[in-house]
Amino acid sequence: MEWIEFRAMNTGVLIAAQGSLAQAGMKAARDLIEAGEHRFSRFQQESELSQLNRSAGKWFDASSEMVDILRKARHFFNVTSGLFDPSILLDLMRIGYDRNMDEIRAQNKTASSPASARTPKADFREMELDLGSSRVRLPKNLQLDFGGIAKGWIVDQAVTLLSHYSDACAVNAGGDMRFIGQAPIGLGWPIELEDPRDSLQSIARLTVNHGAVATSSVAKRTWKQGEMNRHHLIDPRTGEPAESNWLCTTVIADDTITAEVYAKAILIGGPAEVGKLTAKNNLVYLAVDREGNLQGSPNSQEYVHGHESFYQ
Amino acid sequence: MRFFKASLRTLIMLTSTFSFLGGWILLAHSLKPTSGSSSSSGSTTILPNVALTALPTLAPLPGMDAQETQSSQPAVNPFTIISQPQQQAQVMPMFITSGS
Repeated sequence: MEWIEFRAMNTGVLIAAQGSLAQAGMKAARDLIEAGEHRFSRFQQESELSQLNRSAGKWFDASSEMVDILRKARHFFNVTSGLFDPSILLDLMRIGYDRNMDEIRAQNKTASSPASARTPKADFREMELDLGSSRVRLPKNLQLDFGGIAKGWIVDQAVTLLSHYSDACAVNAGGDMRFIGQAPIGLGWPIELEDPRDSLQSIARLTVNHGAVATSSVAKRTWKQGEMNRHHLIDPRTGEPAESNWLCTTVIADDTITAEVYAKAILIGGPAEVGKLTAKNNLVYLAVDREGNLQGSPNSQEYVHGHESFYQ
Repeated sequence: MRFFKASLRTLIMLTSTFSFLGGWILLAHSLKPTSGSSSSSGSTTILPNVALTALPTLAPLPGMDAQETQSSQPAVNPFTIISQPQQQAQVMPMFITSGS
């Protein structure tokens, strides 16, 4: 198996494939990922997402990729009862996430502006999507951030493209990953679940035969705003960083976009909402609390190895 | 011509004799295997100035009786090579999920 590693979407990306066309496939997948980043990043002024946000209040001619991700975003907003909501950009800016994470880290993880009061915003459901003519209209006071969905969407697209070149391949973007085909060795694809309290330690090993794994964490993208500790997972109900009992949540699903969206929704909703979120589609989830205890859905145990204190 | 044939026979005879004697002497002075030193448990045997490491082997196949009594458990292909962590690190990248 061959693999390449590079940086995109402000995170580490790994593409792996086997077979005689692996190199060509990985090159094509990398090009797709970088094109996806240019299209959906809110930190690039010329990205399609930035143009869409600037056009709020007017109809915007969107690409088929943009229409697809908006259609999926609307679906996930509905099935998570709004716990997944891409229209939280104004809240993210207000709490100091107004530059990309690499820049915030370069400035000692400090916000450039003090906290301010929340301003009213339109509801995401007010977005109008004209599928027939590929147009979208955002309400005037609504701005989108695809931080909770674009990475999964891009990983799905990249690994699907890669599978045309290779019968066993994987794409991992910052811990959101998808596998197609049989692992070259062993009985599945091995994945280390990082301990959210210590990034050098693994808290458990997962094995999946195919499909996707995604993790959301409140311990990764953090900074200070005045005296307040901030992280990037906004609770849409309050507009503030989610106050969760869990440090990170992991979801195993058929595709990365589902895994990524539900990992965030479950982390934001916490123990009170997890039953409702996972009951409809029998999702597999794991959660790590502040003491390092691992818990999860009953169907998650078959994926987990090497953690003695597992409980439900 | 007769002289050439006689010379050739003599040369072949002498070469064979000396090769035989040389081989004999070489074997007589070589290191001898010690009884019980080779191990099936994968240990390393140290001989004077020589270290022999046991080669990796396949996992033993389960007996027929064992398969019958464990029929309620998930079937595992007995011919699957048990993967070793060291091999895995060389063949596959490490996948870590942590949130970004």
